[in-house]
Amino acid sequence: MNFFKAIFYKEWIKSRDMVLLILTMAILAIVYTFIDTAYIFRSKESISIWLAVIDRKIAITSVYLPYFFLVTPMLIGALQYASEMVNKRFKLTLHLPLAESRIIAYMLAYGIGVVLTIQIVTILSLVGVLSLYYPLEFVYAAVMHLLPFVLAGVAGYLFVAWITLEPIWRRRVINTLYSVVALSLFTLGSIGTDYIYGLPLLVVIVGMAVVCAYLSASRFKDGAQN
Amino acid sequence: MEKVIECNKVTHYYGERLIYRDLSFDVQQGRILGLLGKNGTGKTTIINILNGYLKPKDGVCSIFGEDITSMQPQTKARIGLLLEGHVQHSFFNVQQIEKFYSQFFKQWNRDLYYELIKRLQITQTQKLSTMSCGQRSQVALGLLFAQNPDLLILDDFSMGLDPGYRRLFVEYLREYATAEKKTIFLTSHIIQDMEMLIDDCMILDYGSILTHQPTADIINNFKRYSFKASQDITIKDARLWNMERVGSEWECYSFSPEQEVASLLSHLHVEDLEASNLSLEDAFIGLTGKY
Repeated sequence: MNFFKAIFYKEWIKSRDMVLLILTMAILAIVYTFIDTAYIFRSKESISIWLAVIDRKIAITSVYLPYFFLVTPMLIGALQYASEMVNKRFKLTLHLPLAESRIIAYMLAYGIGVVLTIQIVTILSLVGVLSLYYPLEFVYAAVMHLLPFVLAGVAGYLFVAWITLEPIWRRRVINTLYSVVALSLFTLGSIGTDYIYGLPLLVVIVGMAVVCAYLSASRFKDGAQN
Repeated sequence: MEKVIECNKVTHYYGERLIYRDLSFDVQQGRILGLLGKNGTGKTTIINILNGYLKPKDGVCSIFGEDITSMQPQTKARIGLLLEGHVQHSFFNVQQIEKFYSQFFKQWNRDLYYELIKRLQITQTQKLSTMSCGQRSQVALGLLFAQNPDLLILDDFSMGLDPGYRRLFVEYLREYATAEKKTIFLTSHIIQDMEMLIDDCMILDYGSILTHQPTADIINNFKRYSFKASQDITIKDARLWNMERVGSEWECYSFSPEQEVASLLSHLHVEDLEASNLSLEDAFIGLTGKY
């Protein structure tokens, strides 16, 4: 019996429509980014763009694209965990003959796996399309600009798990506020590659978000109530 | 006989409100125990405690001899759980949910599941979210039977079911439990259904257990006594339950035989003392009062 496969199957049935929708959004986001950057090149002097990218390490990408990486993982998280909380169905999941910690780990692993797959596919597609028309430095700057948002997306997914699995509404509000503050740290150094200096902190935040998701599941299991 | 469920001195509060103090009971293997009580007496709370979804403030519960707070996966596999309202993962269809659960249980019997499903007017690709409560109850029951657990814990199994589905549910459950010597712990608001099903009855009052005994003993021994009296009756005796005036007569309930009740009331000069047999629902009202 492959329990991971079974949990994966359940989560896939639950979220496959959303995943397909997000992949469609990814295609649209790439097309939009290409149109947007082409417009920037047409409307501005190419020398100033070149200076911005090489000297000041500013990425010329669509302003909306980073939010695709931040928001879509949260949608997956919301769908995955909100449906468990309707009528407290999470009790059925926790009643499966597996250690609760393993059940949570498998659910999170599925979500993070899907989030990273979508994000990697999107970035590779973006690199492929942009490489056809733009120099390598430009593509490199765009990818480096997006990477903290990829990490923010993973953290956002975990924070949504933390908020949604929390059984008490008042705490959900508090968790949301903490999450917003934590996620804002991911975008502080989003110009150029400044964020690299804060990378250890961002990784720690992602690690803490995993612990937080476990905490909410554990509070649910122990019957925390309003 | 083995004790499948054992609770010892369970005390629980919601905030300041006491739900139980020192609640102790056990359920023997092969018995069907029905938990009855008015709203707010903590029936679902007990179910949640037994499933480990609520930590009582004090006391210990064990299932198959294992503390419920640290239950092993193998022990969880021996327990079938039905949530209030036949809640299931509604994003699955009939086939998908069977495929999912079958991965977790060694003795999974898919034929039992599909045997029940065959009786429903549904397709195998129909999603649970599009089913009626009655249809979902059969899917839930089919999954429980296929799991083949040694203990079934059913929370308000009759909720939302029409009389036909309720009867079907009870008949299947009774047959399954009797043939396979399964233990069942259940709650329901529809006491007529319980009467056909349960071997033992535990009635909760606010904070404690009113009575816990075989259902047959309650039905055979607990009687309603009606009589006439020329004065107001104020008698405090643990053997007489819920004394009240009903129209021109007085009524009370007792486990004691008619002779003993007559003797208890003799100094009050009562007349026309009459004993009536009770259904389980009437007995429940007699024990808990109407309000």
